[in-house]
Amino acid sequence: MEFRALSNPELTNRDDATLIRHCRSGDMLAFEILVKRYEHRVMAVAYRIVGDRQDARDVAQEVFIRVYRYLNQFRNERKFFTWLYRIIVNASFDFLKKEQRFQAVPLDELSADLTPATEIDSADEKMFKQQLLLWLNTLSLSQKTAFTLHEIDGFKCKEIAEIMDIPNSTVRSHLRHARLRLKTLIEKHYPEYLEGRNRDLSSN
Amino acid sequence: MGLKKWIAVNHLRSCPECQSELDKLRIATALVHEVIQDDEPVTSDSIWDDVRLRIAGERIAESTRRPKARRPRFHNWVPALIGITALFILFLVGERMGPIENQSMNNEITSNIPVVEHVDKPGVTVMTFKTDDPKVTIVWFFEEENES
Repeated sequence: MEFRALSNPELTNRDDATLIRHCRSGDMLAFEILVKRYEHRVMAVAYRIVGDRQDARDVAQEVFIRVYRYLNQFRNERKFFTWLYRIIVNASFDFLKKEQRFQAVPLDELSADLTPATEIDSADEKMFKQQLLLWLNTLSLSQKTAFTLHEIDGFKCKEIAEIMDIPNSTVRSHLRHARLRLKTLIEKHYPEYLEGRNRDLSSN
Repeated sequence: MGLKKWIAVNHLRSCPECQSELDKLRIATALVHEVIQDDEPVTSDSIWDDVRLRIAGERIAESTRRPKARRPRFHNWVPALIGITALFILFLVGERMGPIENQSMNNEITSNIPVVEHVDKPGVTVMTFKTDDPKVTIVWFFEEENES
């Protein structure tokens, strides 16, 4: 794909389909707008998978390089968002594979290392949040990815199946396992957080 | 609403334990959702310059890549030449050896019509096909089925 410069400021407000058409015809400004439009979201998604800010930045760069390389192969502009997410997930997985950082921790091993909740200040919300993030990173890569795509990015199971290139039933299984695991850990070590919210729900 | 979901919803109305379990799952998910959103990296630095440089580097690398050296293509026709030579040799050998004769078969008919001939060994039938080429004879042996 060759680029030629086009000084068209109106491109900034154009939709993705228009930008992609311009990119394909060689407009580098259109590609720049596309990158700047999505770079923060790409970095956020990559960060949730790889777990490090600088690594997420590197992955985000790789994502846009792949978009540049394969944009001519992308045929359906309506699904650009899903296609982009697929590239993010693949690039993140490739990065972790290269760094050899795939590892889920079995639940019983994980629980054994934790300090019982009674010995720490359970009202310390910051500690709780940090712990939650650690627990999230102990999920398998696929479970964590499916969970965050569903809960944070709002994708449906069918869309996640397309992004991750796995069957719909596998997506549901990942979501089920992820929710159950996180609930079990919170219930064991920070039960007051579940009870507190439960009281709020009941009163409402 | 599907049947399974209807059954589940109805069960939840009458089972406080299951309802509590479902609530905990929802709450846990919501808690993690909040934490993830709070933790998202906030940066004002765009990655565009880095992306642009990498693309430029790739384009330069692509334009300066040496064309693949043309390998001599003689190796493509060598196997074909060997095959043709082998056939030619077989033909020459056939010429020098003359017609194939089978001592156990008598009354060989020289016409092109296939004939079934019985050889000395009982129970074995032979069909002999004579072709246009006097040096080539096709002989097909098969056993007759014993009728009992």
